[in-house]
Amino acid sequence: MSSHREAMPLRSNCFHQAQLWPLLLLAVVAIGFPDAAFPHHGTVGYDFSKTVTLRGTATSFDWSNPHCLLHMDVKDDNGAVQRWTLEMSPPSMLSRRGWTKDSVRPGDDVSIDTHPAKNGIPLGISSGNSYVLKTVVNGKMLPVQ
Amino acid sequence: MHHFVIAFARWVQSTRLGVGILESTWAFPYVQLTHFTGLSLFVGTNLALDLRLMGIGKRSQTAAQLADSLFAWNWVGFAIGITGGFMLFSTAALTYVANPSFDIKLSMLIPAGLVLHIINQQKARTWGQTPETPGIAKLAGFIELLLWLSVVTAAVLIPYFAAEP
Amino acid sequence: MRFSQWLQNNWFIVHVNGSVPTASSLEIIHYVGFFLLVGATAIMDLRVMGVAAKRQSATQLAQQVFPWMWTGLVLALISGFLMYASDATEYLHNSVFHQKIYLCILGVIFAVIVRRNVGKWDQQGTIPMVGKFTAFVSLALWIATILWGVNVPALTGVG
Repeated sequence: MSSHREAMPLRSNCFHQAQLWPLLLLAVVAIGFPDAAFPHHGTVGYDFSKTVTLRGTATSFDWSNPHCLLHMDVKDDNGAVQRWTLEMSPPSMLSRRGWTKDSVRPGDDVSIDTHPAKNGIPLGISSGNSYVLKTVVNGKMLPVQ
Repeated sequence: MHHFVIAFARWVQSTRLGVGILESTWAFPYVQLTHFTGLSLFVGTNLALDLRLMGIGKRSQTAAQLADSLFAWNWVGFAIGITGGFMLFSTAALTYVANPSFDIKLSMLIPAGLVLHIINQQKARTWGQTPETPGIAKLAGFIELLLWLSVVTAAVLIPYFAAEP
Repeated sequence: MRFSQWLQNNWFIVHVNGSVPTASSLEIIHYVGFFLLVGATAIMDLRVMGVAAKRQSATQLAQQVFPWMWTGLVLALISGFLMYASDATEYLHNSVFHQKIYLCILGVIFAVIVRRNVGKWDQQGTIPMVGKFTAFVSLALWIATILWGVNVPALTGVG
């Protein structure tokens, strides 16, 4: 992308990149699951035996492919604020249940059920193939069927 | 240059194309279809030629004949793949340019993968005159194969390096 | 249903899908597999339809590329099965996924039909309409398989 890279001869470009690969793999293993939307096998990282109810304030609702994402600030027992990310179905599926991009707006008071990530990071899944977990926005429950 | 890239990404992400696909209730699978169909034609035929240069597989045709057979649709596949890829990019351009795996994917593709691919396509005419290809052809085919596998790997790892914009 | 539960709780299935390097490898193998499979079949079909590689005979081209259809299919099937197994109970009731598999099976059948008949069609000078149509169906089935493949997560949220 930078202009000097185009001036580099082909072979040294390949060699430089080849060295990155073992580092990349190491980084991936060390980082674990990131703070954003899960990849292809997202459901593997979530604990479906647990359902927690989060109460807080929405900071944004991403009406986006491949997954809608709800971001919210949740106060824990000590009063500290955690920024949670809830993975949801794509717009195609949520809209069929009656949701829209404005179903949750920044600043809305939200209470939402979620299956949290196994590794304890503030990430959870709140809708999938056959379900949308209970979501209450400003006191009004959003459709789950 | 970096500043330009960020500004470009911000602009692309704000276009009706980018926003439209991002929020669409129906279009996203078709964009993915475009990208993957194009790649099946492009990467699929690349792999077939690389393997033939390496001397692996059937020898019904010489490598020269195979390169000639595959040429047109190989590049049609590239065009379709890039179109789909750009459309995907446009939905979240800022997160993509900040993503190291995406950066690696693109820099393996351009110039390394493409340049080597073009060289191999051209050289296949001389290397592939005989059913058995020379050693240099086997090496070149093998390196190109590794490059395409690396591009696919980097692409698959993109979600693992997604950062909040 | 019990088999599906056994599958997705199986130690190997859980671990191969639960670790980033192995789960990513399954995805990579699946993509490389279907790129090879669809690419090879598409080139053969396009040649039979008369829109590709006109300087080479359809039979010779098919002989050269068709084996990669099988290689790609095996790679895609093995990686696909291992990924499917991690969510087997979900996929059991997923009609979009079932449709994808049916399309894949039909795709293989039509690819084989084209391969089996290309020699006969080639001998007629120009490929007859029935041959071109069969090749078109084969190509369309594979494009549909890819579409249904991306439809599974997009329309049903699985995978």
